[in-house]
Amino acid sequence: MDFTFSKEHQLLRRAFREFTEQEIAPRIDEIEHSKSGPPADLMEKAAEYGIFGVPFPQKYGGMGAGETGYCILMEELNRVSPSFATVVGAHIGISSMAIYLDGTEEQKQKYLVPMAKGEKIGAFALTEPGAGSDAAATRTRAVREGDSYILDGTKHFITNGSICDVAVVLALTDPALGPRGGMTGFIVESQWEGFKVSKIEDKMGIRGSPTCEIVLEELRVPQENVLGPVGMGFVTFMKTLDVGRTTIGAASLGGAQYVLDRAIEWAVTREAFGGPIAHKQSIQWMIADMAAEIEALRSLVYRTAWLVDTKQPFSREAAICKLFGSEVCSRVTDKALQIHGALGYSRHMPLERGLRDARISEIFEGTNEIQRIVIAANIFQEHGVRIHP
Amino acid sequence: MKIVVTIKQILDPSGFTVNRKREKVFVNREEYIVNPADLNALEMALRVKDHDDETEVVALGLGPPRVDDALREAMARGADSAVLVSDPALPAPVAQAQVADLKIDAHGAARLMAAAVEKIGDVNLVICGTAALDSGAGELPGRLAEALGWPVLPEVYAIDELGDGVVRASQRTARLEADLPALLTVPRDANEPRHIYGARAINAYRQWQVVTWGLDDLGFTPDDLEPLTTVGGRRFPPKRALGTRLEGSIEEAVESVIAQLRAKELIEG
Amino acid sequence: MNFSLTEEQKMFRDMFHDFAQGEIAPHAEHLDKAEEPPTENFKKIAMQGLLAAPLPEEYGGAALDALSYSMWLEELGKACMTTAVAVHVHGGMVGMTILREGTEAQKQTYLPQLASGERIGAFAWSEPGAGSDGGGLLTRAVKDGDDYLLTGRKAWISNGAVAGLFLVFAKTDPDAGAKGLSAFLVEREMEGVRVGRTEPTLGLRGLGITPLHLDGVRVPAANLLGGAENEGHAQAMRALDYGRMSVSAIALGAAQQALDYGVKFASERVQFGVPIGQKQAIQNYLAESAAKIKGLRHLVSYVAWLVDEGLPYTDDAAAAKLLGAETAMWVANKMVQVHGGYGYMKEYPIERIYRDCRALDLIEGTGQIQRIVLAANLFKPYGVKIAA
Ligand SMILES: Cc1cc2nc3c(=O)[nH]c(=O)nc-3n(C[C@H](O)[C@H](O)[C@H](O)COP(=O)(O)OP(=O)(O)OC[C@H]3O[C@@H](n4cnc5c(N)ncnc54)[C@H](O)[C@@H]3O)c2cc1C
Ligand SMILES: Cc1cc2nc3c(=O)[nH]c(=O)nc-3n(C[C@H](O)[C@H](O)[C@H](O)COP(=O)(O)OP(=O)(O)OC[C@H]3O[C@@H](n4cnc5c(N)ncnc54)[C@H](O)[C@@H]3O)c2cc1C
Repeated sequence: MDFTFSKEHQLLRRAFREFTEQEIAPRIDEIEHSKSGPPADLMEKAAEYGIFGVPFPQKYGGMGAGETGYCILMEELNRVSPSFATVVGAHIGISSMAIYLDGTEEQKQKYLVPMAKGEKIGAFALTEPGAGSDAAATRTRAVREGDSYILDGTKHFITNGSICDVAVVLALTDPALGPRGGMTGFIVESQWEGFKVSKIEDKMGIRGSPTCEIVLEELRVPQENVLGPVGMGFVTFMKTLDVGRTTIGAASLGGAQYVLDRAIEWAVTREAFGGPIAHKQSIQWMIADMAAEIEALRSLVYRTAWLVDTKQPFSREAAICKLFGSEVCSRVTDKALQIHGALGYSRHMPLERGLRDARISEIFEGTNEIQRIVIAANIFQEHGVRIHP
Repeated sequence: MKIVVTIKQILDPSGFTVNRKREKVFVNREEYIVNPADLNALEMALRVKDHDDETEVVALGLGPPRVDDALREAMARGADSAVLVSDPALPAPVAQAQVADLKIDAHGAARLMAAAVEKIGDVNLVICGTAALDSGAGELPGRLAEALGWPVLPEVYAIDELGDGVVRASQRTARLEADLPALLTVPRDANEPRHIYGARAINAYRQWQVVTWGLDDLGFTPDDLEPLTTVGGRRFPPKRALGTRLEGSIEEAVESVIAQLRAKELIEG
Repeated sequence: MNFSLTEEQKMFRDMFHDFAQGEIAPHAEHLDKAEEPPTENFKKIAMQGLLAAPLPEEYGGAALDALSYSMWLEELGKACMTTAVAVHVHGGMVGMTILREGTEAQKQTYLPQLASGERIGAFAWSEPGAGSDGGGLLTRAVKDGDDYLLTGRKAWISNGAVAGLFLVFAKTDPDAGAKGLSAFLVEREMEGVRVGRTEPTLGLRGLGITPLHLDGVRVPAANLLGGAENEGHAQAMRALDYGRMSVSAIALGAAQQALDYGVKFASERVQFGVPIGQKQAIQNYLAESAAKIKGLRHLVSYVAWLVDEGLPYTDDAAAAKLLGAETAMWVANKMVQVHGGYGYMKEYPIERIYRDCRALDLIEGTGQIQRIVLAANLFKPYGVKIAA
């Protein structure tokens, strides 16, 4: 057993840290107030530094840093800006990843390469008003017409919907078969006629990442843009979410560590009742519990990344990363806010935004209830029992 | 154009604390960084390269094997290749050697590095950080230029022109010119060093190599490196006394200054 | 033991409910978005005679007993937490403190103004350097002839943006720590009073929280609360006891409202072919919330009963405040979760309730301070004194 990061990953972390501290941190307000995603020049800089293709092989324009490198990226981005991390995560982790996992070589050359280079931004369009946790309830239709498919339907809560060039979309090709053989993935370009952003949500947190409703209206998709085999789209989309989960744990780790650091700083400076509040056990306990949870999370995340990188099964661990990570980040942020007293409640301090931002991770990419179902299903399956959601 | 940038690895200053009272330095975290001014030197070289694809930037380091990491970082920031002068016969960290038993001093280091520059071959320009953050001596660049027999342009903020056998460069207030090959030194506020490129960070370890040369490769024996300097002792720099604030009008203040200088017998009358 | 309400209390409860839902709730979203103080709400509430509801009628109040008052705050808490906290600070923290501690002249002057809404009250205790620790307050009050000169900086003053009357705590004896504090009634128009810019916050965004700068403000000795120096700490602690009862009632309302939204959503939202309320995970969140709320409801009523009976209630109020804050935060958090992605959207009120509730563990003494109060009380019979 060896728990050290490789030298290249250590250097990579420093690279990301430099980028986030020098380029992103000074522009948090701008990012948070933007309704159209992070500022364009920042996206360009991020592209220049290879941020949009971290896990993908270099032959597809990526960095070749694997899941471990990707986790380091998400950890570092989320320390500074969960909004930016969400934009990048949706782009890499679910959108580009779907093409990487199940795209043809031509699709990879045409879409994955520019996406990994950050020349094109991706979105992942699964959720619908009637199909959230229950993705099998997808209603968006894809009807074959000659060499094309015509897509009709509404997707909502789609991260990057308004800033994407490319979206992967799940649609029903055979309603009779449903998720088992009747759903197909499509690669769609946002400038095609029939792709319309109909609403941008106003949300609690990650306000710098656009979450959109997208209406697909007689959208014509050429046959070569079918993602994976016809009828197998549900599998592609679920498999993609599987891979993305570890990195939500990693992002949570970064967010939690950041607020713990702030809380420690505050506890040693703020004085009440004759000395720094760090001398009070109420505060010490909070700090100790925060540190304990974060340490457990760190081990969990990077062990799971190692499972992915060494091509071992990782579904259960990835779901645990997402579940445990998001809850740790929320708990830790809550305590860090409490340690700051009234100041924690102020929008002038990062704890306030931290609390709003952290909350999303318990909800998106499969709610934590769905993670528990995934974990339980995985466990019971080993005992020959199939559970139903 | 071939440019060598000297890269020194130093102890990360955020990893140690200095206790003045006990005259001790406590290392809490032994981590190393690239000497900051050397990153400015590298940036200056990379800016030449940005405008000229033909330009090759070589990072040159000296020290124990761990300096390898500093050189790979230089490659991750954009250097094309890297050379490390390292030999078990060299005393451990050069920085510490300068203050400890001094088996090699800046003079020895400069001669070794000059030999490396010559071995790299066809080098037009060497760029050094003005001084290292740890020793603060600023001794090496001059000695290196001397060993190479090249002119030095110190404290350069920007290269204005490079080619046709000359380099023209700006200091803060003056413009200088030298025949090539030449050596420049760059201060820490000369420019904003670029970030580490992620993909290059990965390649720096997975694909690219740092060439290592020992004393043999450079035609030296340890005896050739006998230091020119000897250490007379070590002590903490004296604590700077706080100045005094003079109250009152300007005239009164001037009077007071004159009176104090007189009292110290620094001026007469 | 009798858990039933009197006919009058039942009537009050229904009236509070109808009024709060009809007149206050519809504006909650706007106050949050615009970050505006609830000026219109103050007016409407004053018209109902409920702005300083527990004050006796002779001073313009509605003479509500503590139980009815807690039901009023609970209903306001359901409708709009910002308004609830604003009313509690105004009528409870300021109005009731003047009633409890003030001289007759002070009551005559200020209580009718508070009851009518002519002046909105603010409780100015906290400072940038100290909140929990009264001993750390730096604002000074220096006697100057028949007046006091007040100098210092207060922070985090709810209602500060609109207040006409500040109950300011300042040191008259700087060597005596918290025991050297005195309370002053400071009018906004007094020279040297400057209200700073509204603090942007996570929630309670219409509360008009501001800093307050006191720059040698000349306050007549007649405005020293109760006419006695160095009583400020004790006066503030009694105010906080009552305030904690009030906050626990607001917390109860918020938790109940959050649960109601959760149950409604869970009964309507269909996934996997059934309303999500059919799933045990969701049922458990709702059931546990209900259990906590039921416990809290009884505690809140019990504290109010103690108040009405004139019995000591310091530790019960601290317990109610602690449990109230934790219950409201817990329930709101779970109800966001029940809403799934919708819970994260501003279109759904649960998003706002979640942010508002987070303040409950900070105001009128943080959760840590409630624990200290409770522990200190536990050790009292053993003669052990707890240092904070
Ligand atoms: C900011 C944001 C960004 C998003 N980005 C994207 C994106 O880029 N692409 C995309 O496709 N989607 C995206 N989503 C959608 C997200 O994945 C869904 O919100 C999520 O899957 C939950 O679906 P829902 O909101 O419809 O909630 P519902 O599925 O209606 O869930 C409501 C509640 O019921 C629970 N529940 C549901 N089923 C069960 C069950 N069987 N057992 C127990 N409990 C159950 C849920 O856990 C939840 O608590 C985003 C959402 C948000 C808020
Ligand atoms: C929305 C809102 C409205 C407010 N309105 C008002 C108002 O109208 N008037 C007013 O005067 N103030 C108001 N406040 C301020 C509030 O009363 C203080 O925030 C509170 O008293 C805590 O003080 P502090 O913020 O200075 O934190 P500190 O006292 O500095 O405490 C920092 C942390 O240390 C903990 N701590 C402190 N002492 C101890 C101890 N002895 N043992 C263990 N832990 C300890 C605290 O619990 C907290 O976690 C408001 C605050 C908020 C958030």
